[in-house]
Amino acid sequence: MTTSAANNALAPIVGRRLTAVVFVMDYVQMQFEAPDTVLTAITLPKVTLSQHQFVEGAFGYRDALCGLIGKSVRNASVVEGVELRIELDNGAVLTVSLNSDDARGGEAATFSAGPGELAVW
Amino acid sequence: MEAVADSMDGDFVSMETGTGIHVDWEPIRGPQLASVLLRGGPAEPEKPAPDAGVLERALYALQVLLWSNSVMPGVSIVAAPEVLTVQAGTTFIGQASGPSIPVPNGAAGPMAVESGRGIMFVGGSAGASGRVWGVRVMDATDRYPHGYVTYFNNGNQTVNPFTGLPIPRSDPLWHIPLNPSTAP
Repeated sequence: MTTSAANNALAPIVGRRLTAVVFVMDYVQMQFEAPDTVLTAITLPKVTLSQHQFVEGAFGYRDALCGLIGKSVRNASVVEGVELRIELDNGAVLTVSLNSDDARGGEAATFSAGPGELAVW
Repeated sequence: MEAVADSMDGDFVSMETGTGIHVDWEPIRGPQLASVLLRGGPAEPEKPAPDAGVLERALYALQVLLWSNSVMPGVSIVAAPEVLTVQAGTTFIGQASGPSIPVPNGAAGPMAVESGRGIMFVGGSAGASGRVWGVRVMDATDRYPHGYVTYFNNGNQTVNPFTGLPIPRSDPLWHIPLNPSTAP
């Protein structure tokens, strides 16, 4: 079930640009130009661009992720138990699986929108 | 590495780390809850002082002991070549059963995690680097039937609570399981 706009934790990044992709140890963080917004993808994200899918370990995966820097978020949604889905203005779609079978660290992702504002999936 | 506290006499504890290394530590009562002076060294005084590697292993054993046996005098650890100091945090989260959970000094909270599955304290400072910024105490999950604790820096990166440095998911301190059976 997709969250409503009112409780969509990712709403703060809609209309904002992805400003940085940070590879931290064995997971990834994505920073957006909205102040203090950081999406931490413990389950590594998948990038879909021009019908090509880039997944962890695949050739070009990191380039595909970093290639999204500077693109604006057209839509962002949370499908509980399924995925976080971020659509960018170049047509790319970035997804983080929320399927517990894919969770490698007990949590799939966190999203911080500032001090004291944290969502955990 | 298994660590076992082998004696406790008043405020003085001698710990066998499971590697043949003895670590003597002495709680020091102060204005805060407690602090601990750790002196790593061999059991016999005539032996030379251990090198940094030995102390590092002893420190790790102590960490295991602190978490697994719930002898938790503090959260901040400063390591020096021959003296290790554990300083107490000022705030702990008590549990009905199980160990107290240290909160970084000065952290504000509790605040609800938006997903509703836990609470957190943020804006504090702890660890040898001072970069432990917050702690989350999360509800039970299939993987952690009694819940778990995770510490993070101000970039929302999971850190070792003792050093404040980022850690990978494979690190046992990534998510610290809560286990009522380890209550003191």
